[in-house]
Amino acid sequence: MLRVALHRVVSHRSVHLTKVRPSMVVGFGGPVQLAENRDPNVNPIFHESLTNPIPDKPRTLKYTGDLATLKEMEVGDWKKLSVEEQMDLYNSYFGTSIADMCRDQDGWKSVLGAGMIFISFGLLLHLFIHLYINPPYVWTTLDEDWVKASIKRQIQSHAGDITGYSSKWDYANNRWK
Amino acid sequence: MYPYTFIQLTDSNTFFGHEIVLFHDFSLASLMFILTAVLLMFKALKKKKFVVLAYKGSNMLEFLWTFFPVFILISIGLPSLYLMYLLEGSFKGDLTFKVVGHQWYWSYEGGDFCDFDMSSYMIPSEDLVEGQFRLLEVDNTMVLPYSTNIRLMITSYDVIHSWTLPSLKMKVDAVPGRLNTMNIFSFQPGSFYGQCSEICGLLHSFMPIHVEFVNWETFLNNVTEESFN
Repeated sequence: MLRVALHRVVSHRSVHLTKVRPSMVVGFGGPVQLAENRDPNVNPIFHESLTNPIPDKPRTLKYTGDLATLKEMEVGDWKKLSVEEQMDLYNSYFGTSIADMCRDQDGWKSVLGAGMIFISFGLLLHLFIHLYINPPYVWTTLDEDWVKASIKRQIQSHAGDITGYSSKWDYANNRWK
Repeated sequence: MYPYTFIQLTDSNTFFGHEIVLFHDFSLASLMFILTAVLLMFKALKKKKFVVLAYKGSNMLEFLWTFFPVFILISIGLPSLYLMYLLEGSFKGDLTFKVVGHQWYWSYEGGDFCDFDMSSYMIPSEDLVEGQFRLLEVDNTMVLPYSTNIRLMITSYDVIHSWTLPSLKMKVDAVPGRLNTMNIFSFQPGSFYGQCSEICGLLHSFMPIHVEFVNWETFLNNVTEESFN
Protein backbone atom coordinates (compact mmCIF):
# COMPACT_ATOMS: atom_id res chain seq x y z
CA MET A 1 0.00 0.00 0.00
CA LEU A 2 2.75 2.38 0.97
CA ARG A 3 4.78 1.44 -2.10
CA VAL A 4 1.80 2.21 -4.38
CA ALA A 5 1.09 5.46 -2.59
CA LEU A 6 4.72 6.54 -2.76
CA HIS A 7 4.91 5.77 -6.47
CA ARG A 8 1.81 7.84 -7.07
CA VAL A 9 3.15 10.76 -5.06
CA VAL A 10 6.51 10.71 -6.79
CA SER A 11 4.96 10.42 -10.24
CA HIS A 12 2.78 13.40 -9.37
CA ARG A 13 5.84 15.29 -8.28
CA SER A 14 7.56 14.57 -11.55
CA VAL A 15 4.58 15.26 -13.83
CA HIS A 16 3.06 18.36 -12.31
CA LEU A 17 4.68 21.60 -11.36
CA THR A 18 7.72 21.01 -13.49
CA LYS A 19 8.29 24.70 -14.02
CA VAL A 20 8.14 25.75 -10.42
CA ARG A 21 11.57 27.31 -10.39
CA PRO A 22 13.03 27.25 -13.90
CA SER A 23 16.11 29.17 -12.86
CA MET A 24 16.88 27.05 -9.81
CA VAL A 25 20.46 25.91 -9.65
CA VAL A 26 20.69 22.17 -9.04
CA GLY A 27 23.18 21.82 -6.24
CA PHE A 28 23.15 20.27 -2.83
CA GLY A 29 19.41 19.87 -2.36
CA GLY A 30 18.40 23.46 -3.01
CA PRO A 31 19.74 26.98 -3.12
CA VAL A 32 22.86 27.35 -1.02
CA GLN A 33 22.67 29.81 1.87
CA LEU A 34 25.60 31.87 3.06
CA ALA A 35 26.29 31.78 6.80
CA GLU A 36 25.64 35.48 7.42
CA ASN A 37 22.40 35.47 5.44
CA ARG A 38 21.04 32.20 6.80
CA ASP A 39 17.29 32.18 7.16
CA PRO A 40 16.45 30.41 10.45
CA ASN A 41 13.22 29.17 8.92
CA VAL A 42 15.03 27.14 6.25
CA ASN A 43 16.21 23.62 7.10
CA PRO A 44 20.06 23.75 6.81
CA ILE A 45 20.44 19.97 6.38
CA PHE A 46 17.76 19.63 3.76
CA HIS A 47 18.91 17.25 1.04
CA GLU A 48 17.01 16.00 -1.99
CA SER A 49 18.19 14.09 -5.04
CA LEU A 50 16.93 11.60 -7.58
CA THR A 51 17.67 8.76 -5.19
CA ASN A 52 16.03 10.62 -2.28
CA PRO A 53 13.18 12.55 -3.86
CA ILE A 54 10.98 12.97 -0.78
CA PRO A 55 13.00 14.03 2.26
CA ASP A 56 11.64 13.42 5.72
CA LYS A 57 11.72 17.04 6.82
CA PRO A 58 10.60 19.92 4.61
CA ARG A 59 12.80 22.77 3.50
CA THR A 60 10.81 25.24 5.59
CA LEU A 61 10.94 24.55 9.31
CA LYS A 62 8.50 27.13 10.60
CA TYR A 63 5.45 28.23 8.73
CA THR A 64 4.57 31.85 9.42
CA GLY A 65 2.18 34.39 7.92
CA ASP A 66 0.69 33.41 4.59
CA LEU A 67 2.41 30.05 4.62
CA ALA A 68 0.75 29.19 7.91
CA THR A 69 -2.63 30.00 6.38
CA LEU A 70 -1.82 27.86 3.36
CA LYS A 71 -0.77 24.99 5.61
CA GLU A 72 -4.15 25.04 7.26
CA MET A 73 -5.86 25.05 3.86
CA GLU A 74 -3.64 22.13 2.80
CA VAL A 75 -5.41 19.94 5.33
CA GLY A 76 -8.66 20.37 3.43
CA ASP A 77 -9.54 19.72 -0.22
CA TRP A 78 -6.65 20.51 -2.61
CA LYS A 79 -9.04 21.40 -5.42
CA LYS A 80 -9.91 24.57 -3.52
CA LEU A 81 -6.29 25.77 -3.78
CA SER A 82 -5.23 27.82 -6.76
CA VAL A 83 -2.21 26.87 -8.86
CA GLU A 84 -0.08 29.63 -7.29
CA GLU A 85 -1.01 28.45 -3.78
CA GLN A 86 -0.09 24.89 -4.70
CA MET A 87 3.24 26.12 -6.07
CA ASP A 88 3.92 28.04 -2.85
CA LEU A 89 3.23 24.92 -0.80
CA TYR A 90 5.46 22.88 -3.08
CA ASN A 91 8.27 25.41 -2.82
CA SER A 92 7.95 25.47 0.94
CA TYR A 93 8.60 21.71 1.12
CA PHE A 94 11.00 21.05 -1.76
CA GLY A 95 14.02 22.92 -3.06
CA THR A 96 13.92 22.01 -6.70
CA SER A 97 11.83 20.01 -9.13
CA ILE A 98 12.47 16.59 -10.61
CA ALA A 99 12.74 18.09 -14.10
CA ASP A 100 15.51 20.39 -12.89
CA MET A 101 17.33 17.45 -11.33
CA CYS A 102 17.13 15.48 -14.57
CA ARG A 103 18.21 18.38 -16.73
CA ASP A 104 21.69 18.01 -18.22
CA GLN A 105 24.30 20.30 -16.74
CA ASP A 106 27.11 21.93 -18.61
CA GLY A 107 29.69 22.35 -15.88
CA TRP A 108 31.79 19.66 -17.49
CA LYS A 109 32.56 21.99 -20.39
CA SER A 110 34.33 24.43 -18.08
CA VAL A 111 36.29 21.65 -16.42
CA LEU A 112 37.30 20.18 -19.78
CA GLY A 113 38.30 23.58 -21.11
CA ALA A 114 40.45 24.38 -18.09
CA GLY A 115 42.08 20.96 -18.30
CA MET A 116 42.88 21.45 -21.96
CA ILE A 117 44.47 24.83 -21.22
CA PHE A 118 46.81 23.26 -18.68
CA ILE A 119 47.62 20.38 -21.02
CA SER A 120 48.43 22.78 -23.82
CA PHE A 121 50.86 24.67 -21.55
CA GLY A 122 52.60 21.41 -20.83
CA LEU A 123 52.82 20.55 -24.51
CA LEU A 124 54.23 24.01 -25.32
CA LEU A 125 56.90 23.50 -22.69
CA HIS A 126 57.73 20.11 -24.16
CA LEU A 127 58.02 21.62 -27.64
CA PHE A 128 60.32 24.35 -26.36
CA ILE A 129 62.60 21.83 -24.68
CA HIS A 130 62.58 19.62 -27.75
CA LEU A 131 63.56 22.49 -30.05
CA TYR A 132 66.02 24.50 -27.97
CA ILE A 133 67.35 22.41 -25.10
CA ASN A 134 67.73 18.89 -26.48
CA PRO A 135 71.21 17.37 -26.11
CA PRO A 136 73.19 16.26 -29.17
CA TYR A 137 72.46 12.87 -30.71
CA VAL A 138 73.89 9.80 -28.92
CA TRP A 139 73.70 6.30 -30.30
CA THR A 140 71.16 3.98 -28.72
CA THR A 141 70.00 0.43 -29.15
CA LEU A 142 66.87 1.87 -30.75
CA ASP A 143 68.71 3.03 -33.88
CA GLU A 144 67.44 1.45 -37.06
CA ASP A 145 70.62 -0.52 -37.77
CA TRP A 146 70.78 -1.89 -34.25
CA VAL A 147 67.12 -2.93 -34.26
CA LYS A 148 67.57 -4.69 -37.61
CA ALA A 149 70.62 -6.51 -36.29
CA SER A 150 68.74 -7.60 -33.17
CA ILE A 151 65.81 -8.86 -35.24
CA LYS A 152 68.25 -10.82 -37.39
CA ARG A 153 69.72 -12.30 -34.20
CA GLN A 154 66.28 -13.31 -32.97
CA ILE A 155 65.50 -15.01 -36.26
CA GLN A 156 68.82 -16.84 -36.20
CA SER A 157 68.12 -18.11 -32.66
CA HIS A 158 64.49 -19.01 -33.52
CA ALA A 159 63.20 -16.79 -30.75
CA GLY A 160 59.44 -16.29 -30.76
CA ASP A 161 58.67 -19.14 -33.12
CA ILE A 162 54.92 -19.08 -32.47
CA THR A 163 53.98 -15.42 -32.27
CA GLY A 164 57.29 -13.58 -32.55
CA TYR A 165 59.60 -12.63 -35.40
CA SER A 166 60.66 -16.19 -36.18
CA SER A 167 57.07 -17.18 -36.89
CA LYS A 168 56.96 -14.61 -39.69
CA TRP A 169 60.27 -15.64 -41.31
CA ASP A 170 60.36 -18.12 -44.15
CA TYR A 171 63.49 -20.12 -43.34
CA ALA A 172 63.34 -22.18 -46.53
CA ASN A 173 63.50 -19.16 -48.80
CA ASN A 174 65.35 -16.82 -46.43
CA ARG A 175 62.82 -14.01 -46.52
CA TRP A 176 59.73 -12.73 -44.70
CA LYS A 177 56.61 -14.80 -45.16
CA MET B 1 62.24 -11.47 -27.79
CA TYR B 2 59.50 -9.32 -29.09
CA PRO B 3 58.82 -5.84 -30.45
CA TYR B 4 58.05 -3.05 -28.02
CA THR B 5 54.35 -3.14 -28.83
CA PHE B 6 54.00 -6.76 -27.75
CA ILE B 7 51.62 -7.05 -24.80
CA GLN B 8 50.74 -10.75 -24.70
CA LEU B 9 52.45 -13.55 -22.80
CA THR B 10 55.59 -14.91 -24.44
CA ASP B 11 55.65 -18.18 -26.31
CA SER B 12 56.18 -21.11 -23.98
CA ASN B 13 58.76 -23.76 -24.25
CA THR B 14 57.36 -26.01 -21.55
CA PHE B 15 54.19 -27.98 -21.06
CA PHE B 16 53.30 -26.01 -17.94
CA GLY B 17 53.82 -22.81 -19.86
CA HIS B 18 51.11 -23.74 -22.35
CA GLU B 19 48.73 -24.53 -19.51
CA ILE B 20 49.50 -21.21 -17.84
CA VAL B 21 48.84 -19.27 -21.04
CA LEU B 22 45.51 -21.05 -21.52
CA PHE B 23 44.46 -20.33 -17.95
CA HIS B 24 45.52 -16.71 -18.33
CA ASP B 25 43.39 -16.33 -21.46
CA PHE B 26 40.41 -17.93 -19.73
CA SER B 27 40.75 -15.66 -16.65
CA LEU B 28 40.94 -12.58 -18.83
CA ALA B 29 37.82 -13.66 -20.71
CA SER B 30 35.95 -13.94 -17.39
CA LEU B 31 37.22 -10.53 -16.35
CA MET B 32 36.12 -8.97 -19.64
CA PHE B 33 32.66 -10.44 -19.14
CA ILE B 34 32.39 -8.98 -15.63
CA LEU B 35 33.75 -5.61 -16.76
CA THR B 36 31.32 -5.40 -19.66
CA ALA B 37 28.38 -6.30 -17.44
CA VAL B 38 29.32 -3.65 -14.87
CA LEU B 39 29.87 -0.97 -17.52
CA LEU B 40 26.49 -1.74 -19.07
CA MET B 41 24.90 -1.40 -15.62
CA PHE B 42 26.57 2.00 -15.17
CA LYS B 43 25.30 3.08 -18.58
CA ALA B 44 21.76 2.02 -17.71
CA LEU B 45 21.79 3.81 -14.34
CA LYS B 46 23.08 7.01 -15.94
CA LYS B 47 19.75 7.61 -17.68
CA LYS B 48 18.17 8.97 -14.45
CA LYS B 49 14.97 7.02 -14.87
CA PHE B 50 15.31 5.22 -11.56
CA VAL B 51 13.97 7.86 -9.19
CA VAL B 52 12.90 5.81 -6.18
CA LEU B 53 16.03 3.66 -5.82
CA ALA B 54 16.20 4.46 -2.13
CA TYR B 55 12.63 3.28 -1.46
CA LYS B 56 12.68 -0.12 -3.12
CA GLY B 57 14.41 -3.34 -2.27
CA SER B 58 14.38 -6.85 -3.58
CA ASN B 59 15.57 -9.84 -1.63
CA MET B 60 15.42 -12.02 -4.75
CA LEU B 61 17.72 -9.65 -6.65
CA GLU B 62 20.19 -9.53 -3.79
CA PHE B 63 20.19 -13.32 -3.59
CA LEU B 64 20.75 -13.66 -7.36
CA TRP B 65 23.65 -11.27 -7.54
CA THR B 66 25.34 -13.01 -4.65
CA PHE B 67 24.66 -16.54 -5.88
CA PHE B 68 25.71 -16.34 -9.54
CA PRO B 69 29.17 -14.82 -9.02
CA VAL B 70 30.01 -17.91 -6.96
CA PHE B 71 29.97 -19.93 -10.18
CA ILE B 72 32.34 -17.48 -11.83
CA LEU B 73 34.70 -17.74 -8.88
CA ILE B 74 34.58 -21.52 -8.91
CA SER B 75 35.26 -21.59 -12.63
CA ILE B 76 38.39 -19.48 -12.10
CA GLY B 77 39.47 -21.18 -8.88
CA LEU B 78 39.32 -24.83 -9.95
CA PRO B 79 41.70 -24.55 -12.92
CA SER B 80 43.97 -22.36 -10.83
CA LEU B 81 44.23 -25.01 -8.12
CA TYR B 82 44.75 -27.73 -10.70
CA LEU B 83 47.57 -25.74 -12.27
CA MET B 84 49.15 -25.02 -8.91
CA TYR B 85 49.30 -28.69 -7.98
CA LEU B 86 50.62 -29.54 -11.42
CA LEU B 87 53.45 -27.04 -11.11
CA GLU B 88 54.35 -27.89 -7.54
CA GLY B 89 54.09 -31.60 -8.00
CA SER B 90 57.49 -33.12 -7.83
CA PHE B 91 59.08 -35.10 -10.55
CA LYS B 92 62.45 -36.64 -10.50
CA GLY B 93 65.08 -34.36 -11.91
CA ASP B 94 67.84 -35.90 -13.97
CA LEU B 95 70.17 -33.02 -13.21
CA THR B 96 70.40 -30.58 -10.35
CA PHE B 97 71.80 -27.09 -10.44
CA LYS B 98 71.99 -24.35 -7.90
CA VAL B 99 71.30 -20.69 -8.61
CA VAL B 100 72.48 -18.12 -6.08
CA GLY B 101 71.49 -14.49 -6.20
CA HIS B 102 73.91 -11.82 -5.17
CA GLN B 103 73.91 -8.07 -5.21
CA TRP B 104 73.99 -7.65 -8.18
CA TYR B 105 74.69 -10.75 -10.25
CA TRP B 106 73.76 -14.41 -10.41
CA SER B 107 76.02 -17.36 -9.80
CA TYR B 108 75.40 -20.90 -10.98
CA GLU B 109 76.75 -24.04 -9.38
CA GLY B 110 76.56 -27.60 -10.55
CA GLY B 111 77.73 -30.69 -8.77
CA ASP B 112 76.19 -33.72 -10.38
CA PHE B 113 79.22 -34.97 -12.23
CA CYS B 114 81.50 -31.98 -12.62
CA ASP B 115 81.88 -29.27 -10.06
CA PHE B 116 81.57 -25.85 -11.52
CA ASP B 117 80.79 -22.48 -10.16
CA MET B 118 80.47 -19.42 -12.36
CA SER B 119 79.21 -15.88 -11.95
CA SER B 120 77.04 -14.16 -14.52
CA TYR B 121 77.36 -10.39 -14.79
CA MET B 122 75.51 -8.10 -17.14
CA ILE B 123 77.47 -6.75 -20.12
CA PRO B 124 77.33 -2.91 -19.94
CA SER B 125 75.62 -1.11 -22.81
CA GLU B 126 78.91 0.45 -23.98
CA ASP B 127 80.43 -3.00 -24.53
CA LEU B 128 77.58 -4.44 -26.56
CA VAL B 129 78.08 -5.61 -30.13
CA GLU B 130 75.50 -4.42 -32.65
CA GLY B 131 72.39 -6.57 -32.43
CA GLN B 132 72.79 -7.61 -28.82
CA PHE B 133 70.01 -6.89 -26.38
CA ARG B 134 70.46 -4.04 -23.93
CA LEU B 135 70.31 -4.99 -20.22
CA LEU B 136 69.92 -8.67 -21.11
CA GLU B 137 73.31 -9.90 -22.27
CA VAL B 138 75.61 -11.52 -19.75
CA ASP B 139 79.23 -12.60 -19.84
CA ASN B 140 78.64 -16.22 -18.73
CA THR B 141 75.40 -17.87 -19.78
CA MET B 142 73.89 -20.87 -18.05
CA VAL B 143 74.02 -23.78 -20.48
CA LEU B 144 71.53 -26.59 -19.94
CA PRO B 145 70.44 -29.60 -21.99
CA TYR B 146 66.98 -29.47 -23.55
CA SER B 147 64.36 -32.23 -23.27
CA THR B 148 65.76 -33.08 -19.84
CA ASN B 149 64.16 -32.83 -16.42
CA ILE B 150 66.32 -30.40 -14.52
CA ARG B 151 65.90 -29.45 -10.90
CA LEU B 152 66.92 -25.94 -9.96
CA MET B 153 67.58 -24.96 -6.38
CA ILE B 154 67.46 -21.25 -5.97
CA THR B 155 68.69 -19.23 -3.06
CA SER B 156 70.33 -15.95 -2.28
CA TYR B 157 73.47 -14.79 -0.60
CA ASP B 158 72.29 -11.46 0.72
CA VAL B 159 68.82 -10.04 -0.02
CA ILE B 160 65.74 -11.44 -1.76
CA HIS B 161 66.04 -11.71 -5.53
CA SER B 162 63.81 -13.47 -8.03
CA TRP B 163 65.00 -15.69 -10.84
CA THR B 164 62.68 -15.23 -13.79
CA LEU B 165 62.42 -16.74 -17.25
CA PRO B 166 59.24 -15.55 -18.99
CA SER B 167 59.67 -17.92 -21.93
CA LEU B 168 59.60 -20.86 -19.55
CA LYS B 169 56.92 -19.26 -17.35
CA MET B 170 59.24 -19.41 -14.39
CA LYS B 171 59.57 -17.06 -11.50
CA VAL B 172 61.20 -18.27 -8.31
CA ASP B 173 62.14 -16.10 -5.37
CA ALA B 174 65.72 -16.37 -4.21
CA VAL B 175 65.40 -16.00 -0.46
CA PRO B 176 68.48 -15.97 1.78
CA GLY B 177 68.56 -18.94 4.10
CA ARG B 178 66.04 -20.89 2.05
CA LEU B 179 66.29 -23.25 -0.92
CA ASN B 180 63.40 -22.95 -3.35
CA THR B 181 63.17 -25.82 -5.78
CA MET B 182 61.72 -25.58 -9.25
CA ASN B 183 61.69 -28.01 -12.14
CA ILE B 184 62.65 -26.85 -15.56
CA PHE B 185 62.15 -28.59 -18.90
CA SER B 186 62.47 -27.12 -22.37
CA PHE B 187 60.94 -28.68 -25.46
CA GLN B 188 63.51 -27.26 -27.82
CA PRO B 189 66.94 -25.68 -27.85
CA GLY B 190 67.14 -21.95 -27.71
CA SER B 191 68.29 -18.86 -25.91
CA PHE B 192 66.07 -17.42 -23.17
CA TYR B 193 66.41 -14.20 -21.24
CA GLY B 194 65.04 -12.99 -17.97
CA GLN B 195 65.60 -10.32 -15.36
CA CYS B 196 65.64 -10.13 -11.60
CA SER B 197 62.07 -9.65 -10.39
CA GLU B 198 62.42 -8.67 -6.75
CA ILE B 199 63.75 -5.28 -5.77
CA CYS B 200 67.17 -5.84 -4.37
CA GLY B 201 68.99 -2.55 -4.38
CA LEU B 202 70.72 -0.14 -6.66
CA LEU B 203 71.40 -2.41 -9.63
CA HIS B 204 68.26 -4.49 -9.41
CA SER B 205 67.46 -3.76 -13.07
CA PHE B 206 70.96 -4.73 -14.15
CA MET B 207 71.25 -8.37 -13.18
CA PRO B 208 69.80 -10.34 -16.07
CA ILE B 209 69.49 -14.07 -16.59
CA HIS B 210 70.48 -15.82 -19.77
CA VAL B 211 69.90 -19.54 -20.23
CA GLU B 212 70.82 -21.51 -23.32
CA PHE B 213 69.33 -24.90 -23.97
CA VAL B 214 71.59 -27.05 -26.13
CA ASN B 215 72.01 -30.69 -27.03
CA TRP B 216 73.76 -33.06 -24.64
CA GLU B 217 77.05 -33.07 -26.47
CA THR B 218 77.40 -29.32 -26.37
CA PHE B 219 76.25 -29.25 -22.77
CA LEU B 220 78.81 -31.82 -21.66
CA ASN B 221 81.57 -29.98 -23.50
CA ASN B 222 80.55 -26.74 -21.84
CA VAL B 223 80.32 -28.23 -18.37
CA THR B 224 83.71 -29.85 -18.70
CA GLU B 225 85.24 -26.57 -19.87
CA GLU B 226 83.66 -24.66 -16.97
CA SER B 227 84.82 -27.16 -14.38
CA PHE B 228 88.39 -26.99 -15.64
CA ASN B 229 88.27 -23.19 -15.72
